[in-house]
Amino acid sequence: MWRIVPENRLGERVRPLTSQSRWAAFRSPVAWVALVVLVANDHFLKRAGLLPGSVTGKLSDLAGLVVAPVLACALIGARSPASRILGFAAVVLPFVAIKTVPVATHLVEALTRLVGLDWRLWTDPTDLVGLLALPFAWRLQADSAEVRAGKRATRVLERLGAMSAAVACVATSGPDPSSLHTAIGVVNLTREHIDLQVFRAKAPLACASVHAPPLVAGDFAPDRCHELVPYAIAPLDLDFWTKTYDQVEPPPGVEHRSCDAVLLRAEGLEDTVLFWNNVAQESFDDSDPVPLDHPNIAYLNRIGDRLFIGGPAVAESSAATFELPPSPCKVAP
Amino acid sequence: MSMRPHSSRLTGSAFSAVVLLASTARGEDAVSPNSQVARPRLQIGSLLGIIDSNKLSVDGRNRGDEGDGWIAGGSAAYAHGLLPHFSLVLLTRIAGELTDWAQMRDEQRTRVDLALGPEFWWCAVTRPTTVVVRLSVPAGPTWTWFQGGEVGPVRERYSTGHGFNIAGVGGIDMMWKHHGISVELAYLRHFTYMTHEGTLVPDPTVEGSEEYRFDQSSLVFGIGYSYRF
Repeated sequence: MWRIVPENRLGERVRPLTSQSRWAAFRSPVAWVALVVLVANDHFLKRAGLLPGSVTGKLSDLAGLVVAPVLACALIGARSPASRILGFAAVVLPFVAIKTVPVATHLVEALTRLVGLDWRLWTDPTDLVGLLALPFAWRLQADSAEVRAGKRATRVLERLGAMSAAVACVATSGPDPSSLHTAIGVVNLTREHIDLQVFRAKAPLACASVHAPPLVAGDFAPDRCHELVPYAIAPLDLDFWTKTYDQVEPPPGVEHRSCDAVLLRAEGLEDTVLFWNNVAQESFDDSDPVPLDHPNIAYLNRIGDRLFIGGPAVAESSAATFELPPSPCKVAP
Repeated sequence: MSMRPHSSRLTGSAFSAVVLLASTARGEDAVSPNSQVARPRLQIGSLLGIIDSNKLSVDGRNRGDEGDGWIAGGSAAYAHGLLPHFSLVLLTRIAGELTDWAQMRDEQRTRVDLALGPEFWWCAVTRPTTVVVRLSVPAGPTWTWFQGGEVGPVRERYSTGHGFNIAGVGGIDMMWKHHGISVELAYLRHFTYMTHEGTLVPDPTVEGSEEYRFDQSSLVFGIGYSYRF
């Protein structure tokens, strides 16, 4: 659309004094503080593990509910209270739906995936505490509605703030993906669930030899069971651990064995003994696809009704030469 | 007084000319595309689809859904008018597809469809651009190729998949004389049968095969160029 740009007496074009800036809210220190908190929280605090995940999550919602409604109002050029309500509703209604209705959460995740964003959203009504930020956002937007366009530097600052807010809102990170730390794992490459039973050497083995010591049925005791879904990793070492927000170090007091042996049992699989000696733990992010040729992973796949195990390269794998009696299997949580 | 008959004749001639022109114009409008057999149409375009479900049964046993996925490729179609509002359409699609499962296994999948079906159309606008809305239900054979590989201790192979496809297609053509743009949205269903073979890598004497049946439904968006003969 063409606009008439007034000129001053020298013939220079000037901005009309009455023009208002739709981005004026990003002149306020409150908006900038919220923006900095949002970015710092999403991209540093959550990863650093300095604060519990529940705290960083709420902090993100609080800061986000200042930045996002203000940005929405700026984008639609909201000046009147009615248009401001529209801008706020565009943010608040989806937020409330996501936090309270699981179907809405999944729908938004699916929609964002369609446009190449990998948002991870959680249905958690306690996150509605973030709505406490709305009065501040409303005040901020209302105060900025009548602010006149400023000087060039101010306008640059406003636009910089708006652009940063847009990027911060879109590139928000979910909680860091959790990662499994294990020395030896087993992955199900079949299309169905596998009930995998693990028997473990009752006592720590002598680790002097790199090869498995002679083992007999009496050396093993039932240890745990896994309901192994396709492409899930079941850790086999005793001191495996999962890194999350709240758990950034291996848990203390868990028994560590430099070398260990387990016997794996599943329907269609020949009882198989795995022995490993001095294998360092590897990290497997749950957001990454399971690698198909990792030396620390044993792979289960099916031919007809029979299951076969391949690998892991860093362990010795052999069919059991002894027979273990059946044992009840209670799937570990 | 003597001028009167002459003037009357002039007026009458002018009136006749106007009526003739008007009736000619009306006559052109009266021959609406909707009352004619459609001229043949050739169409070529690209397609992008979302796989809604890809259910698999192995040897007749349900093995669940492979998960969401994508289809991307191209299509070509020829439509031949038979009656007003009714044409016959022959089309082919070639597309790659990627499901969650295929992605985890690094499987390359390609599919070719051939389909023939009735097309019902209606010309909504004639000027300045001809806008035709159409609905078609093409169906026909499908061929699928999966590229297997070494998956853990098992080397997997797939036979060429055979099956059939059926779609409900809604489309809009915007034509400027011979050339135009077509936009389509289709609900596409594929039924594919293939043999999956597995060979144990450390001991190739151990092998087995299973019969796979995929039932895939997808929503496909297409856009392309149309040529009307």
